[in-house]
Amino acid sequence: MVYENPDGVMIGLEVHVQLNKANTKMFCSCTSDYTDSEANTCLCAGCLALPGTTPVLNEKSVDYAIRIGLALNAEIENETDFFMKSYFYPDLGNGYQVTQFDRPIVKNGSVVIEGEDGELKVRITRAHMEDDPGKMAHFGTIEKSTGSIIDFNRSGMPLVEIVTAPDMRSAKEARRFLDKLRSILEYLDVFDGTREGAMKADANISVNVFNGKRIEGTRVEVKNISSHKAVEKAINYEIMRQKDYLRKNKQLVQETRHYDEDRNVTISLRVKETADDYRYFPDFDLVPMIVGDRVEGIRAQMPELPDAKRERFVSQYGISDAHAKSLVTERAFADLFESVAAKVDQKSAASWVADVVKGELNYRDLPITAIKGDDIVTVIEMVTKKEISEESGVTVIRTLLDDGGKPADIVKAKGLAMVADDFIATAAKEAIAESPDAVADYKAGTEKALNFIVGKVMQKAKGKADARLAREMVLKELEKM
Amino acid sequence: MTKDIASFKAAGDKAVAESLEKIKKDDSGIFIAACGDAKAAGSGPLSGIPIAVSDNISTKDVETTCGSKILKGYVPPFSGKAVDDLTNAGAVIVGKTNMVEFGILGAVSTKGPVKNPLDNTRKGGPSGSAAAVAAGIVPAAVCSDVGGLLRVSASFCGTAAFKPSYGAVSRFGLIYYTGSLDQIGVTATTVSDVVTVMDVLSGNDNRDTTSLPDKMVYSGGKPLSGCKIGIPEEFLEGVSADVMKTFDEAVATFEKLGATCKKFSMNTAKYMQPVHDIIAAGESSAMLAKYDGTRFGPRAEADNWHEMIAKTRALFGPVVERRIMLGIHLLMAGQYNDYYMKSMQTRTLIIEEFESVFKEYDLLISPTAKDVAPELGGACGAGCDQEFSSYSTAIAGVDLAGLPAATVPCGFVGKLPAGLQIIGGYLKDADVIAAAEAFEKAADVKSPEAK
Amino acid sequence: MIQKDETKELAWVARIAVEDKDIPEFQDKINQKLDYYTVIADAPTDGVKKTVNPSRLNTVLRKDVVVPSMKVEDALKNAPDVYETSFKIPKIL
Ligand SMILES: [Zn+2]
Repeated sequence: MVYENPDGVMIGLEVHVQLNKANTKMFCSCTSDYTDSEANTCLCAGCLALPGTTPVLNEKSVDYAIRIGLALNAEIENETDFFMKSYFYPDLGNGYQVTQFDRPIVKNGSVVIEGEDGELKVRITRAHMEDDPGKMAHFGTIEKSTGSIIDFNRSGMPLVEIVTAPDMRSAKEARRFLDKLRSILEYLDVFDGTREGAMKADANISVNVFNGKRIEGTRVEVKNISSHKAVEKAINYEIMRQKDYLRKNKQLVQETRHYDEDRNVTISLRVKETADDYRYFPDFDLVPMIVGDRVEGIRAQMPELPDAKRERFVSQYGISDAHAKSLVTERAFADLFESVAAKVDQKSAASWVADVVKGELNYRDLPITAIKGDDIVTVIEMVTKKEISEESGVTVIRTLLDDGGKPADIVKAKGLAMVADDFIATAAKEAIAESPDAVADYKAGTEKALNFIVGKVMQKAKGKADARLAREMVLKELEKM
Repeated sequence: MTKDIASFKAAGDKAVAESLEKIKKDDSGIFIAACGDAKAAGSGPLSGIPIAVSDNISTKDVETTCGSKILKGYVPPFSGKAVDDLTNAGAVIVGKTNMVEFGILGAVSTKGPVKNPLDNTRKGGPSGSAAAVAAGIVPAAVCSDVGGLLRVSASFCGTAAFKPSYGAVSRFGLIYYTGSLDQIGVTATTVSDVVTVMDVLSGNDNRDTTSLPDKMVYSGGKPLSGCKIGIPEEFLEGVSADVMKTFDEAVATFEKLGATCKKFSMNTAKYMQPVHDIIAAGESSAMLAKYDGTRFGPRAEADNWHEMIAKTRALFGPVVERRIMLGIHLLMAGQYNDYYMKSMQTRTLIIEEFESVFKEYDLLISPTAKDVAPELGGACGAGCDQEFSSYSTAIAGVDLAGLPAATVPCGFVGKLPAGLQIIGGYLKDADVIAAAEAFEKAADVKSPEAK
Repeated sequence: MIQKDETKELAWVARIAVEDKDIPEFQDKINQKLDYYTVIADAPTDGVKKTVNPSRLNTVLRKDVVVPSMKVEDALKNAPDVYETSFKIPKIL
């Protein structure tokens, strides 16, 4: 199957990733962990751009950028430098952002995602380092505000901006790219995606087919989209808007638009700026960086990345690719699986961790630390030894997450221990006696009728019976008839 | 009138109080503000010594304005590294010296021009640092040196001054407008006092990327005997006949001391001033962008932020405003390659030529400024955009290559002193100091009145 | 050389409110500088590397160790307008 891309949609992303696993900011020694702090309490004179401060680059931010470059299968520039990008905005204290220009630290990489029609290689044009501005909030909406306030805690956070080629053809592909990228970044331990503002994307979108004919599309940039879900919605809105303009023969302009998440629309953001010229020039407060000799040391310590891990899980543990794929999206899940798989049957481990534990954690919005690997092992062992049913196993996991405790105690307290075989045999006889119609149907060849009788047995056992055993018992009794 | 560190030391406890008294009475535009008190004196090599710093060096809890209306009322919550070093050495910062707005030559200070202590109808230079020493108010003053802010002032007031190799002194807390050209230096009555203070200020600071890893050593320089001194002919262009006479005498003194002096031509000299000017304009357009009435400083009234900052930024003086606009123009895509990129490349040529020149010569010399101190109401009285070019090509070259350079008085034209600039190769600071000290001793320049 | 309207535009890009009556003088003085800069046109710079800073250092990096932040009072003490612990400004659009 080949994806037709009927509207000739081309999407490129610029993803801003905060290197918030570094302890300090990019050019000063302020803490990078300001999430729960009051406004303007995690900063120095440099973060505030007070006069007379001088920047010094954080070694970690360089090493993290290199790590990202290696994970994106990219080239690392040997000698690189910083530029000033000038524009006036309230959250940009210096009036310029420190960024990279013609020698980004990372260039020419790629990420493989699951596209509309199979594997899709998204090219990474470049990834460069830059610092984050402060954060502005408005009284009222941005368009109709009476004033704004600024918090500079975020000012100076190290960022890597990853720029893709316009290789994605749908909002879904863009979202998958972001999911994959986030997974890789978390594996690299450079980034905590749960922190606010950790990852933001700008999307360049153009529609290049109209009425079945190829046209020269208009590239529109939608800025500052903060969640992956919002990216999908913003892109879909923008594709729809562009198609609508084409249909109505309205002029599309190459512009920057802002995505309003609450209203699910993109808004044109034109300020009174006559020349859109950022006046890039070399940052004279810094000196060139020669990073080539750092690369091999960093490469030697690169963690196994999701794709490699997925392949290894399939070959080493013999689990299904679907389970492997689910387990590797987060490094912590993959690690949890491996710790469980070391102690019990590997396929059971995969299915319990990927299907049960992950689902129950997600449902409760709990972190993976909410459950212990050893408790999962205990539950799987009890199920394998038929001490409890699979259904009861799930109950134990849920109880562990909701109330805590030990699996054995929960089994005891809830009376989940499996009932004896002779109880099931009796229950089977009773169920058959109580269901003459179903027995007749079964005998007449309706397989489904068997499920009805087994269900009755399970009811009598209050779920504490092994469903497979119950089925066997019923079949045995039916054969005697 | 001048007093050296030793005589201030001899005054004991009274030194700081007397100095403060004079600063409070200053009506010559030498100071913008007085600060500190005698009780603040600590122990160390400068214990109890009053020192002045230029108003572009941040002083915690003391208003720091760079001579600009746009910083009126700004009180830094931190001190510059230079200030911390001085106070840790026992000195008391007694005042902030006046300076042309942000140190931009030709611009005007809120405090007006500095009057020359040797002739109050004349300027004391673009900064009040040398005048503060010449007036005997402090034995030494610390001032950033870009475009001659320090060296030209010293030349006009007859003090010794030194700008070290780029990176010798941390710029942390220095409010520079052009970071790649500016470096903190010192002026005092004698070269030896300059070195005493330079020694306190030098050393690595991990808050400034350009800070040299090792502390600069100013002693043990090459003696003048056998020294080869070069005189780039282009550094003498436009020098007044009177100043040229003092320079010729200086050359004779060097030869008497066993050095050989030779004139030669520098191919890149004609580019030094325009390249300095272009780079300073570009860098200032970025460095002066932070003055937007948002986080500090005065704010003009307007109902929208962009209008508000435009009105606030009109507090810059016109010379500074034009410098920023020019810098922006030069950095725009249409002009960038022809002006800014070209200047950064030409800067490489200038540095390379200096490097090859210093293979042949140990030192270079030139008049520090083309003429003696100008009249107060003169051509640049109300500010002008071309003042820098009226000083010296050598000043620009030194800034561009980050070279060490000293100025010492080499003679008088009437009441007014002329300065001799001694330039060394990169990191050859000790050689410059040794030559300046030897020259100072041998020439024994005194004002006609002192004679 | 820059024209009058370019001078006005430059003033806005620089966010400096220059009065209309001053524009001709600004234009003139900026053009004098541009004229003066033509001297560098003949510098033999083909293939020459740029110098950004006279420092001969490279790769100056800092260890990733936290230094305590400044006090919020110090951060705000020079602010023209404050709302709670934030900097307050007029609307931006
Ligand atoms: Zn900071």
